[in-house]
This record gives sequence, structure tokens and C-alpha cells, in this order.
Amino acid sequence: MTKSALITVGSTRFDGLIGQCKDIVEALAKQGYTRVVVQHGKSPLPEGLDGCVTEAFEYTDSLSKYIEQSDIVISHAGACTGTVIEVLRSNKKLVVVHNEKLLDDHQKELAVRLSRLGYCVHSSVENLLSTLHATDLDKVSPAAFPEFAADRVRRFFDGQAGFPV
Amino acid sequence: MNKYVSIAAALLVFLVGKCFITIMQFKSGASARLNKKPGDKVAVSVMLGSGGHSTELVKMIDALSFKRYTPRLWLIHTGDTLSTNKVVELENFKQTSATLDWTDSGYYAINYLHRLRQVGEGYLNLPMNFFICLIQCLSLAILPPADISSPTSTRSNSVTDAPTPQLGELLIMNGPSTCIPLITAVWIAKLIGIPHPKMVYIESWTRIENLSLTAKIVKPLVDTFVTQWKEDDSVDAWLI
Repeated sequence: MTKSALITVGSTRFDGLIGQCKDIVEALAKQGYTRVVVQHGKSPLPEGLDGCVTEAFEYTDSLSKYIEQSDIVISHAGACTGTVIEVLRSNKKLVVVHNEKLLDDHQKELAVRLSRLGYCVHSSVENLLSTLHATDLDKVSPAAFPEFAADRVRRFFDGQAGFPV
Repeated sequence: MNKYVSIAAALLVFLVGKCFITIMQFKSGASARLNKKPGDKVAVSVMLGSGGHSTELVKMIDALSFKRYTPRLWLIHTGDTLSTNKVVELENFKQTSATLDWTDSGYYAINYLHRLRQVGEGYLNLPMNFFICLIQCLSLAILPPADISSPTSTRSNSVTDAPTPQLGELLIMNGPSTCIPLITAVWIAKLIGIPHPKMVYIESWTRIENLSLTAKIVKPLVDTFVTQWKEDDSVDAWLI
């Protein structure tokens, strides 16, 4: 069975991640991920990518189709919360990559917290390759991410609006 | 001459007293209490940032009954078509589902606000942008509402409610710096005694301990300030 991976940076630029694409694809291939889709945003795609890369594009309005088709997603921590949540809710394996160079480090904080809760694997962009080599991705089994709790949201707003809750 | 001085002094004492009372009421939380019966409606305004912030908040509003939360005023940055599309999509969807179950989802309007920092802009124009945005917010917070039922700006569906202040009774925000002039405008309305919304700020789920700069600024100024993470990592406060 062929396994698929998606690498995504969202609408931002993350040269540190996209620049290593070649090595990432290689590391993934070693673990049997022979189809890779790359959404590279404003970062330039390196030349001479392996044949495993079946599709590469700058941006798309909806990643849902690509998330659905992949077994693992490697995402920039700040890509788009929507993407991260969507991946987590679709029970896919997720590697969140943060940019150590950013001063405003709340992205790292979120990535670390989510991995501590067992929802994903996290890595700094510098350590990504060693993380990929050291982790048996087949053995990664993410904890079930809570579904959207519409009731809780309704209770919160009804309380704020002064309705009897 | 003396007469004018005493009138001015009396006015000043009155205004200072009024401000003092308003601030005391704010601190005690008394001014923030709303009381509704189950069948009542509540007029809301929702400030959408962009990108992830919009996605988070639109999803929350989607969970609400539009029959109850009406009318809705959506505040969006000028030129933010992505957020506009999300709102129109949601409103249209609710209208359709409302027709199906014979309820009505009320009506809504979209109002555009000037960004404090335009895309790629530095901080040089910040004071000017703040001023433009503040004027726009003031016109919402202080002027009486425009005819919301006019078909050019809104879709309307059973406009039977009494006219409400433009920002409604509840102002819901989750992030962009545009919240700051918005909250300033509400405070001006508050201090001069014009009906104003209760201000609710929900910090983005992506923020755990490091609050955003906007959150730090607005925290002492809003009626309700919530973050979505608890110390024990329980998901009890997640609104995503």
C-alpha cells in the first residue's frame, strides 16, 4: 500500500521548511511514503525534487481534499489554525514544525502543548530531519482530538447574553 | 460672566461624576449584566479579524440560533473578501435551513472597518489609520442605526424588531488590533451615557500562556475576557 504525505506552510513563507524538501521527501520515502504533495506558499520550491512529489503548488483555498488523501501531514505551526485543527479532527498523523527564529513564540508554545497532549509530533525546523529519521511514523498513533462542542459554545454565549442557562 | 462659570463648573462636575459612576459600575460588573427570557432576541455585532481568527469566530457563531441572535452586524476589514465570503456563506446557509424548519434567522448587515496596519505597511501611518478607524467605530457606537432593512446593504427577512443601537447588546471579538479603536468607541458611548453593547473578548485558541498584544491591551477594558486554555489542560473552555 502506498502511503501519502502532505507538506503545507499555509499563506505564509517558511523557507527553512520548504528548503529542506528534498531531504524530507527522502526521509519520508524511507518509511514508505511514496506520494508527497507540497503546498509551498511564498517560499521557492527547490529544484530537482524526487519523483515522489506528485503535486506542488503555492496556495489553495481549501486543503481539505489533500488532507483527506494523505496519511501524514507536515505543517508549519503558524500555517493556519484551521488546517491544524482540520488535520487533527480527521485523525491523520501530524508533524507540527515551528520556526525557532521567530521572536513571537506562541506558535512553538501551541505545538509543544499539542504534542504533549498526544495529538501530534512537534519539531523545530532545524531538527525536523533527525525527528523524521528517529520516529517510526507507523507507530505514531495520535490521541483523539475533541470534536467541536457546539453545546459549550451555545452555553457560553447564552450566558453572556443573559439567557437562563 | 459668573453665571457661565458656574454653569461650566456644574457641567464639569456632572461629567466627572458620570464618568466616575460609569467606571465604578464597570468595575463591579453591574453594567455588564444582561437579562433575557428564553423567547427573547439579542442584537449582536461580531468583529472578524482575518485568516485563522475569522475561521474560529465564524464557527462559534455558526453554533448559535440565528433566530435568537438577531440582528447581526458583522465587522470586517475593508478588502477582506475571504471573511466576507465566509459570512455570506454562513448567512445564506442559515436562511436555507431556517426556511426548512419554519423559523426565521432574522437579518444581518456587514460593515467595513479600516485596518490599523494595511498589508505590508509600517507603523508610520498607525496614528492616522487608528483615527480613521475610530471615526468609523464612533459612527457605529454613537449615531442611530441606518435603515438596516435597505436591500442594498443587507438581506432582510422579517424586520419586526425595535430599532437597536448599531453595535447591538453584545459585541463579540477575538483578535485583531482593530478591536482597540472599537472598544475605545464603545467606552466613549459608555461615558456619555449612550446605550452600548456588552463587550466580550475571546482570545484565540492558538494562544495558551502568551496572550496577544491586543489581548493584553483590551483585557482591563472589556466586560468579559476569556482564554480557551486551562491550567490542567482540560478542554472545558475550548470554543473551537
